[in-house]
Amino acid sequence: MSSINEVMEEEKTAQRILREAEEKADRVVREARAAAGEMLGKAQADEAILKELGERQKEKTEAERAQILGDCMVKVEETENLCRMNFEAAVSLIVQSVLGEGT
Amino acid sequence: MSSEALKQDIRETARQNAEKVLAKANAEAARILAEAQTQARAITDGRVQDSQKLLDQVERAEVAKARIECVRSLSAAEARQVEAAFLEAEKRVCSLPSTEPDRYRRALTRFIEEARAELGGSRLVVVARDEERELVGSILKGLGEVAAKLSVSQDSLDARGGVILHTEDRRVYYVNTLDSRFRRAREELRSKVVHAMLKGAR
Repeated sequence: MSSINEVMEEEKTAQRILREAEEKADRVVREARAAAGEMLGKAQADEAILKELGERQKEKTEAERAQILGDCMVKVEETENLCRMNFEAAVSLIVQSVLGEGT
Repeated sequence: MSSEALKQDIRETARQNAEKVLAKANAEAARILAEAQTQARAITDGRVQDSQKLLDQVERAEVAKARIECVRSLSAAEARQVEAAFLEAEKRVCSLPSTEPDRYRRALTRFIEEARAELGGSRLVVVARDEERELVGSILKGLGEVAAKLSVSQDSLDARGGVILHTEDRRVYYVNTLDSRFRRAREELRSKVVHAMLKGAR
């Protein structure tokens, strides 16, 4: 009789072990789902990566803009120098045209 | 089977079943997390791509703005130099009567002939500045047969030089003053002057 009781007791223990395992399994899956949800939420709301991207791009744009304007200043200076060099020729052209010379 | 062996079997079976359940749960959790990681990466990549597109647009706009600014600066520099050339030319032309009187006389002669050609063969009156009336009279004398159809007006020309010719009935005028010629030169010569000033540009 005592042996039957012990076997039944063992059976109960076995069921408890299985139940606990199932509970733990449920918890593991639940926690995984929660972590996955958090991961997706973070991916949708994370601004840091976009902020960093924006700052990097801003620096790049500024550098490009500065380069264009710098090149432009050189071009303006070159144009002014060229105009000064050809100033006399241009003035003569206008004077001759106004006076009707060579027409 | 002894009761001890039976108990052992029950315990072992329970342990194995529990391990299976946990292993299955762990595999499911790993699958969920891996899937979430893939989705999160896709979401982040998508957001980065969208953001990059916008940033690229902003960059293109900024670069275009800088280029337009540059073109404006160049045009303004060009315009300043062209204007300086026109002003210098006006100064030189207006001082011709005293600096190069012969050249000015030849120019006035051309102005009169040009106006006469435009107005046709009728009798014409030449209006000049008070101080140039005598000069114009002498020019007319030098025009030979044509001179008979031209007379100098006693009206005073309010201009920096040049002449106005009109028919005797004052119905048709030809304005050939220096001021009008400067205006015409500004309208018609601008591109030639720019070209002349930028000659040798790379």
